[in-house]
Amino acid sequence: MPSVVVASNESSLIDKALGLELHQSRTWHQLLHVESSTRSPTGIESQVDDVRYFLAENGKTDVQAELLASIDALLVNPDAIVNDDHPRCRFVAREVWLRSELGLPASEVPSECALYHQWRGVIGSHSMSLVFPASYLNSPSSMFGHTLLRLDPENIEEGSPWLSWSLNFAADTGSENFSAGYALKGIAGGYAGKFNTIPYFKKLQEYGAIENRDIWEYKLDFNEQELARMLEHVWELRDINFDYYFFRQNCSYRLLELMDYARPSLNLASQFRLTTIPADTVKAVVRADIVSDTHYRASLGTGIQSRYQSIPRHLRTWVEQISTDAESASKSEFTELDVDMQANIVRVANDLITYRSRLGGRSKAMAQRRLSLLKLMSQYSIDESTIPIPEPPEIGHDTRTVTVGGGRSEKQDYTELGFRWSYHDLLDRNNGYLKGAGIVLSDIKLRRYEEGETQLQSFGLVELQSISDRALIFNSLSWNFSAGLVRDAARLNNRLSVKLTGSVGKSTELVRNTIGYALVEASVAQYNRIENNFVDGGLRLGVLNYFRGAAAQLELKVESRHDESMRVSTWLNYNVPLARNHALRFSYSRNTQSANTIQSGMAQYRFYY
Amino acid sequence: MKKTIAGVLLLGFSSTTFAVAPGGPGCGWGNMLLEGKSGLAMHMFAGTTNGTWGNATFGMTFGTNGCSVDGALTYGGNSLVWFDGVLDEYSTDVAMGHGEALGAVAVMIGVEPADRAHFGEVMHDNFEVLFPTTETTAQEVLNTMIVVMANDETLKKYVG
Repeated sequence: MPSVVVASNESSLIDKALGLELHQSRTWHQLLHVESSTRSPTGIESQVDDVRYFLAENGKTDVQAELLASIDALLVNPDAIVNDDHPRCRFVAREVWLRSELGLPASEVPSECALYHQWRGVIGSHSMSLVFPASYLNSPSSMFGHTLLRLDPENIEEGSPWLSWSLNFAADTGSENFSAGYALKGIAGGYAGKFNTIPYFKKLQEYGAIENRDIWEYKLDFNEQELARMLEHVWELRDINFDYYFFRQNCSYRLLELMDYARPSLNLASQFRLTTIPADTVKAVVRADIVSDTHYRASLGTGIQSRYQSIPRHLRTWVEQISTDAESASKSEFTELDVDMQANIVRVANDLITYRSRLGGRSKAMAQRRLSLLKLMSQYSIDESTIPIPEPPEIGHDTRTVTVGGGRSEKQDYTELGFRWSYHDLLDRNNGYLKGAGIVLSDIKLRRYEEGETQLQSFGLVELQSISDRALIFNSLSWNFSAGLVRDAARLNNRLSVKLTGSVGKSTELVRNTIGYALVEASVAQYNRIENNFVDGGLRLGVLNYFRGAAAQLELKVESRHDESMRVSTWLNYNVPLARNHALRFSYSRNTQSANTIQSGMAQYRFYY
Repeated sequence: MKKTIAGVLLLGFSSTTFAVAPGGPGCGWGNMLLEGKSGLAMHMFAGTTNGTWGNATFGMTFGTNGCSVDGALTYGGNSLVWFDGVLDEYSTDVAMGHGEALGAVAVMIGVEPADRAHFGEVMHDNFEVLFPTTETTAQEVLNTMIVVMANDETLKKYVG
């Protein structure tokens, strides 16, 4: 039964809508998620890839037809509402907006739309935070980060965000397992993206407890009316498919669109034309001055690392001992310690066993060990101190880089220009970034020697680096992978080759802020003829030091070269930041092969934008 | 507030009337512990789709883990299956005497802000009562909580 009978007749409403050019209005384009498109006959197209979202047959490309169909289905000739599939139940934001633009009285969402009312009753709209799970250990691909929204119930101020809900846009990958194919499909748009709302504590568990990602929460200053407006539109997107592209039309982009819709004076999404890197969207939101408070949640791993380091070295063996056997805490050598120190050690031991049990899967024995540790911990008074808050991601350098440099190699001077599309390498100023992790995409270097032409020196398609400093107590792997075009002065007259390199090994924090690593490496370089493939293997030993934003890396590499004698190289890279987006980098290398030594050095200015 | 805990109490005890009792064998604390993911491929590539779990749900439900049937235990529109889902963190918070899971449970069962720190202390002092074995179920923890609260001068007002 239609709950509202519209007095105006169809033609007058349509005339009015066309007269006002509502189909050209920004809000209408926001509601339809329209943007310019070369493949559309109208030059614009909705990014929604789902026929259910359009009431007109050609609604995806024809915003006017969609407007008229919406006026018809929502205002002029609404069918009787028999269930939640009715357009008036589904397109709540459209109806609210059309009524207001066309001068019709506002109308409550019909009570027959039971699911809508139930959902709005459950999902809080008291306040909202932008949530950024930071990159996690050993996973450079997570460096791009992820963002989601947290919606809070009214009792949030006095209660706990564990009762909030998350609003998340993600690729719907079904039950596929993680693999390279999964990644490629995610990048290329092979998955449909959908919004989902799930309890926020599940997200906390997923990121904080299980993936060990620290979480940043930025409380936004949206009021309840703005949030209600946003949720009316979010409801329209329930189960609706968007194409999902990792680099732009991803989680973070969709959330910016929602914020723009919630508060029309904002212009966040339009700042991201080519790529939407989640960390950059956090910066944009901070710049827009809508953040009222920032809250940091350390992951389990970060908490363990930090608290472990606060334990004097000579007492650290207790952590391992008690985590394997809670009984050992009753030894007199332990009970004689200061009681706060005992409490701290027991807590770290408990966190460590929790961490390990999550990696190792459930077993009866492990559950028993954990329960013993908890019982032990409950006998102490554990203080509520939190760990030191690291620098927030928004203070990090911007993600694109251009470089200008000059150097000398084989007694020839050269100048070099570089462009790196994204993102961060091991030596870039690491404030706001994870130490010891790098991800570099599309890194182009053009070089010109004193006598000679400008040539492509290298093209790094992708490079992932992970040198973990947590091997101290966690048994983590360090590794490196790169693919791209490179030149090798010692081979085939310095011609370009396609090269894949992978290395894997261990690393450990030697002293504070200094990580030592040992990696075995294998690489294959292919030149244009198949007989010119080179497979090399090597051992890399190095030290990475971070000091107040500056970073230095010293490495020794011994290589067994495919068809030649051994090569020994040493190199030193030193990066000095001048400001957030400016840095100088110096490098020196020395290669020795068959008593023949080549030295080269370079100085470079780096600008991030 | 009295209404609150009475509701919990009622629901807590009514669960035994289900054909398959929620919190039966295999639903003990030890089986509720969170499990992580590992593997190099997962680490290298997990970021590219920006989300891993529960992606298809546009939900009002907490799902079910086979131990508590969603909707069977509710209070004030919120499912107490929630409690099953945070048992791992809850036990840790109780062992410490503070934490967000503890705070959230206090909010859910109506403990007023002024009494929450005390609630935490009481739970902390009773860790071994609340979590006697690895087989203790969420349901049993909830039932014990009510008894513990009833025996506390300050908290007894929240119990029927």
